[in-house]
Amino acid sequence: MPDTTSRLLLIEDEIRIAEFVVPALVAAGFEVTHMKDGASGLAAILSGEHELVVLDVMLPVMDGFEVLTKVRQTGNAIPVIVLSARGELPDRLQGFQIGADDYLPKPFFVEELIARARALMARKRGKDSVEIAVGDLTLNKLNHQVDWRGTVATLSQREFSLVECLMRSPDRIFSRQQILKTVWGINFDPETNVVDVCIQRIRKKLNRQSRDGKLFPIETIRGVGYRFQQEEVE
Amino acid sequence: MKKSFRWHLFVRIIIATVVVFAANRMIAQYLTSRHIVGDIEQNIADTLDKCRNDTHDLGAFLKCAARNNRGRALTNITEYYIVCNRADSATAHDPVCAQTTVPVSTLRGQPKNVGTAVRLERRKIDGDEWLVFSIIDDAKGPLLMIRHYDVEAYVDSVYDLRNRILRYLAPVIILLLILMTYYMTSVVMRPIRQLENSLAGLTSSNLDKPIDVLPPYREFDRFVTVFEQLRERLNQSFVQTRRFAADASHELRTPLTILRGNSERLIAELPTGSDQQIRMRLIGDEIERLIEITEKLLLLSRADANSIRYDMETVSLSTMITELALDAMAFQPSLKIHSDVEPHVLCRCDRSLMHQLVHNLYTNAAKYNAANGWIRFSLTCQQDRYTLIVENPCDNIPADLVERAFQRFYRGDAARGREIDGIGLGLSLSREIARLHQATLSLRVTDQNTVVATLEAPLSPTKL
Repeated sequence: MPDTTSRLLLIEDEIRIAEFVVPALVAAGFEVTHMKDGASGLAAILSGEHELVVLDVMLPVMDGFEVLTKVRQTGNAIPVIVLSARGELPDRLQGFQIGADDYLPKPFFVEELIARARALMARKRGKDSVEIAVGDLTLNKLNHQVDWRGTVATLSQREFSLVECLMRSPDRIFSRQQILKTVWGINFDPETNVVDVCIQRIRKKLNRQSRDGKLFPIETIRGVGYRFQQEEVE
Repeated sequence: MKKSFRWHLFVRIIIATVVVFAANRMIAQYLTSRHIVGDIEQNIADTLDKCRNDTHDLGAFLKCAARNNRGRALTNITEYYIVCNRADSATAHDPVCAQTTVPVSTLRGQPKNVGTAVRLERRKIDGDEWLVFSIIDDAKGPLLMIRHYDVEAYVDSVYDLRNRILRYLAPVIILLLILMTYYMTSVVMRPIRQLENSLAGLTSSNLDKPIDVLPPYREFDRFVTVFEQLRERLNQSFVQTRRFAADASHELRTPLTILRGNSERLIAELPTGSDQQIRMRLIGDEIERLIEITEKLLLLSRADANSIRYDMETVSLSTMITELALDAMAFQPSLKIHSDVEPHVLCRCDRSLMHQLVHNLYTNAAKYNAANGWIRFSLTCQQDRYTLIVENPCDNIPADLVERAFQRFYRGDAARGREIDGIGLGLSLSREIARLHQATLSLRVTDQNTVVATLEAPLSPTKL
């Protein structure tokens, strides 16, 4: 999907995490190199062969923050996403302070990581736009307008958050709980179909079906959840 | 109220002092009396001995007494008799020898010698007790008689004088006594106060530093040592709790990341809508639940270790509550939502923690609501404090709700019976968050069977 494949460097000592992150990143079109400790990671970054770094904080030999500090000291401005299992506020602040471009607490969703990596690459290539576009759907982050094959509608805050959440991780199936938590910030099931209702409203706003008979890309899978379908392979 | 140690000490010291004072006075009085009486007897005996030849004439007798620098007792005791030669006695005043014979009398006690020349007898005459002095080797010599009562009166007059002086001095003495006692209790209290102040400075944030106390007296050494050991142990357990929170985060979140990563991957890969996919989603939801519990427990353990990290910023509570009320309407159309929110209430808080707190209150109100019930949100502001109230009706409110609601993993019977989703950490976590914001969070059951959660907090908590 990216215009050119981005060379991504993953520095993560936990092999079982790398085991599912690497294939997902590769599937998303990244060329991935994996390093297992801070020192070799630092060497790899400084070799200049990569365009983007995903950096874990707790690493053997040299921890992630140390690596990042050293990288920034050399004047290297390569985009870095910090992963941290500590997930506490100071980690986050410290990460940004020493020059991280983004921060993702564990446990994270791979799709979230991919979305952030893409956003960073887009920003780096000067294509940081106010729009998110996946397939036929374009979402404007400023005025909350959505454009699907020529039909334009303005979404409410929650509708927008819902579409944005699904679009950021196309093809991932979100459960109702996950959506409630991400979009509404609640941790319990109100036992109502608020998510369905919201999706129905979005569909209605966009006329369900485009003129050429295409189905709206947000799909409900009974008992499983909701998914934003990337364009079917034609 | 508890008794004051200082007051207790004060009273005891006063009592002890008074007892010692009284005992001292009694003993002194007894000894002094004996001494004075002995002195008078000696005086009179000497006078009689030296002036035995002048007893025929009072003037001569008194002169003689004065010459010998004796007779002080006789000037004070005005009534005495001298019995001269058994033949020509007179009264003390005129003439000297009032009587010639000793009146009928009975001897009381043993006669004793005063000095070498004079004998003293106690005799009872007409119901009065008399002291009768006579010269030992002159059976015909004069006798000198004094009423015992007069001697006692003389002694009493001495004490009268003393008591008179004491009456003037009493307020001064009492004042002095109180001041001294006060001072002494201060002296006793001072090292205790010092210790108290040093130990009071001990909080969870400086628990790692040794107590800065040099006990001034060795009696306190042991006390300080024991306390220091206690601090050491407490600190260790604190450090352990803190380390646990940090270690547990990593150790728990890493496998959770792996679990979630793989389950989501599997869900995406399984045939759409298949049985396996649905079951995998159930597993996925449980993983989410596990993550939620883990995050809450980690936050609680941070709260226990006093190491919750926060980032205070200015947040519009009015907006937060209004949005929440709107969401609440969307979630459960069957619930009536009453929202009474004062606009523009801005407070300093950690946005995400406050969001969690407010959501926890809402979640409880929604979960434990009566059928076709309602939720009332109220936000009011008084000067520099605000009050947030979330109220809801509830069926079968457990009697011990208010006491137990803040206990960890407490969920009430209603939750079990109705299979309400939840883990019972929300309120205890909320209370910790409230504490962090110097707020109080309390729960109350009204007569109308409603549960009222009240958060009362300063708009801008002082920097912790």
